[in-house]
Amino acid sequence: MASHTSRRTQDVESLTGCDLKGVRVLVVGAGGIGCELVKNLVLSGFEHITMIDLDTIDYSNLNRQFLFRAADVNESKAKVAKKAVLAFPHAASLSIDAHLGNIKDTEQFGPDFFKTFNIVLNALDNVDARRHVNRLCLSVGIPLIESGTEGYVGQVRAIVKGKTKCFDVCARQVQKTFPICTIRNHPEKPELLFKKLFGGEETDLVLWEKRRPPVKVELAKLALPDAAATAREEQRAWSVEESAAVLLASVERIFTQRASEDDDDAMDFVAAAANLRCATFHIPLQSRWEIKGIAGRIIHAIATTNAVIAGFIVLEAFKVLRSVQAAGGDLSKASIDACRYCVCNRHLSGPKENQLLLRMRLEAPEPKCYVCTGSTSTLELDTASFTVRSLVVIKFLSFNKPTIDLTNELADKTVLLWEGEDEGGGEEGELHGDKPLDSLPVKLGPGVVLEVEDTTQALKCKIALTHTLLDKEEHPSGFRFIAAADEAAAGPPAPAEEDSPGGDGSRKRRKVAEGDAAVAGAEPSGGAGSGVVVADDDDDVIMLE
Amino acid sequence: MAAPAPAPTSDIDTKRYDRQIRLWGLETQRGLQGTRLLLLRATGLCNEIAKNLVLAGIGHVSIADPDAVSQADLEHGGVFSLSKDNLGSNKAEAMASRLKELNPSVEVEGIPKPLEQLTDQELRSFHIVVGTHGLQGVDDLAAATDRLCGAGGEPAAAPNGNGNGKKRLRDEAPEAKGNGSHEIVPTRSGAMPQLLAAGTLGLFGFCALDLMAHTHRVVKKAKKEDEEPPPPEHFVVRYPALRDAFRVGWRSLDRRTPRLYAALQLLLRGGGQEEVEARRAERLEEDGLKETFLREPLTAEYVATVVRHAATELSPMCAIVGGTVAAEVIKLVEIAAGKGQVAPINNVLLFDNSDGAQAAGITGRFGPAFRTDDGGVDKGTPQPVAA
Repeated sequence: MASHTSRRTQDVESLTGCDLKGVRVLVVGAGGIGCELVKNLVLSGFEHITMIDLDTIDYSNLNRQFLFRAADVNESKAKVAKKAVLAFPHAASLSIDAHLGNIKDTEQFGPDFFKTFNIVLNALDNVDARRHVNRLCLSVGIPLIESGTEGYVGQVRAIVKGKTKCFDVCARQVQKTFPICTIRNHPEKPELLFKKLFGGEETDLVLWEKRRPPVKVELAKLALPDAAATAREEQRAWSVEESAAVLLASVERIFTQRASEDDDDAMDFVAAAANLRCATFHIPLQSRWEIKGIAGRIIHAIATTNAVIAGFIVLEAFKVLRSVQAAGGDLSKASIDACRYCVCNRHLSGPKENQLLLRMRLEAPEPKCYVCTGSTSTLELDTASFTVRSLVVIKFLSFNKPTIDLTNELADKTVLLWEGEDEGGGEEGELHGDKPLDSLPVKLGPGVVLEVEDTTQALKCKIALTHTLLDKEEHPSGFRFIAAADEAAAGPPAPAEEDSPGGDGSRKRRKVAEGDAAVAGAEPSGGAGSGVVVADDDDDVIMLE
Repeated sequence: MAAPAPAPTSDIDTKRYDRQIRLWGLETQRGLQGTRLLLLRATGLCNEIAKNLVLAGIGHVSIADPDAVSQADLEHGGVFSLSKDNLGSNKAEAMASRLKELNPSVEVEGIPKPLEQLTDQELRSFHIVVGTHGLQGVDDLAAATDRLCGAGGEPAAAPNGNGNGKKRLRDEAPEAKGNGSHEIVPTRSGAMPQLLAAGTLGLFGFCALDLMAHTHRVVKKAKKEDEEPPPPEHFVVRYPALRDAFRVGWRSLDRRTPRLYAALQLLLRGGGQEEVEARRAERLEEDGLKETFLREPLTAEYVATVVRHAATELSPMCAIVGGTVAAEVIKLVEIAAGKGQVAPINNVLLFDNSDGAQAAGITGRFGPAFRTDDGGVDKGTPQPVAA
């Protein structure tokens, strides 16, 4: 085992043409995909592996993250994963660095850090971090293999500057959302209740002419059973009486013990209250377990899909590394013709129904992508209510520490709006942070653009602002982003799926998932009026505020 | 083999399995916990399949392998549940004891024996048996099939020695591109576990299923939102025996068949580079075919590449094939639990991850048609049956 080149490295070289000697690989994420991936890397004979994950181990990870045991719960994923794979058979020359940290922490993991690697492998579950890594890899010219899984489906693709589409372009997908009008007026599904959980009572009586009107739940007439015993019944739908009892008990706990951060209390409250609303609107009552899945938007995650995807990541990495080696280390001269967009699928129909694992050609770069090329995109919003600060935190744009100038290109006039640090930075960061966009020193109008530069992501782009009063029901986030590339072709980008009124047909199953987090993270959120926050944990749960 | 005994809800660790129960439901989870699985040979592929199913909470996994852990097991391939401390001990037992750590509620057992030393009764105690050692597994499982339900339904052995001592399916009509379905054999009967033969050969891999007569249901959505959905329909699919799945004559192959299928047939009979190449040339000549009889030509170079890869196990391929096979096992359990909505692979899945291959994983139905009880012919397509 102590020979200069390990047998594993030799096996890989002889079958794939990829020489792993001296290759330094960065693995971002030590969760579902990451555990599988680092196993494959070690067994393939990679010698220098660096892993980063900000997360700690949760008990619900154990159904798939096979490097972790019950005794490791609350420990650092990256560190436990390192320890676990060192117990695997491996080459004597193997070295692994494990970091508990946030990949967006550019003090530690900035461009200079990225430059020390030959290839970066994403094993992330949230779109925000994936965009960040995408931007950094593009800027420092390191190839990236991007991946994602959700339930039975998953995908892998290489992202190489100037040769493929970047991740930002692909992340602009519309996720499953429900128009607020449907939710507010006539919820028909439990899912719809969670957007506006306890909205005002309905006054629009015309609405109920064609539907069964809501029925009142009258507390005084209910015989309330024991709340504590009911709350333990997770798999059975509580009756209206039981829901009322659990609701009262959980509200009492939440407000008397101030234990709202306690998951169980919050969940009792949400489950009980949701069921009472369900009863009002004739929606079948749901179990606490089901309600937790809906309210928490828990992403399905299984070992088999992660294993397949992690296998593809390594095969694609072999191809990219091989071509870069063949081009004498010059990424710009390397051919990525052999690389493919790999998809793990459970069920297909149509001409490709016999393809369980698909491979498709990679798409060429988007000529007007605002991330790759810095071209001008448009943001439509109410400039009287959005402030500079609210722009910075729009998750959809994934800025990290941006410097934002407002420039009138025609008049050659520029004002600095925001500099670097996150809001609470305390330094002279925000100059105009809390001013509405229409009250800034440079008046909006033709030729006026935001120039955004984020050195931590090596991002430079321009965004034109257009004052528009968007329909709140169609655009709950309050803004609409039109990427430069879409402008020519796009009519209003509001997709049919989002607009069709409350129907089932509105939720066509996507054939190819963009990954765990696309579902949760791709939604424009965090804008004015949106009460949705994407939590940065492994399971990428959206929590209701 | 009886249907898996469902586990009661209280025995299910819903917190551990939360992310998967939300996907496949409690019934499937219960079904998994009542399922007994046998894996043949402690390969890297075996390690992957076992890991995936132990994590998922399958009831019992046995691994059968008579060999001891060698230095080579630690220096090559996709095995991760072994270490230096295991050198010299039985591979199946050593791997089983490591796998147990992944999930304390799963029974994992090593059997230091080859398949042929397991009694019929022992074999029938498993719901699913998976060969993880490639083409040798096809042979081993074909022998077990003969033992458990007789060679009934398979054509008699021909003396010419083609295709593992059995007569190769030959086309009389060259236009019969039915992947072997122009030959008609009686339906099979007997009780045996569901069989999967899988393997990795470097960047290549395959998985073949023999589920005898297998019933799955199809659930259709209601046409209109407020209508009741139509009742689920049931379909039976008759699977060819594993040996027959690899015996289809080349003249009968659909042109779009991945060339890996034909290459695997050549490798089934063993031998080195030269022997396999000689066999390729001989088969082409015998059948009057050019190597372009398949859309991806069956060149000498391609077959030589597969032979070269066959000797080496690559970890990422074990992960891809192992993930797919384990997902297929879960699908079978889901169907047995009355929840499945997706039919299992019928009957061969071919992986080709070499450059330029059309897709990474393609399924196809290979093997003869069956004479049904009512005198009809069943070419392996789903036949409607009463629930």
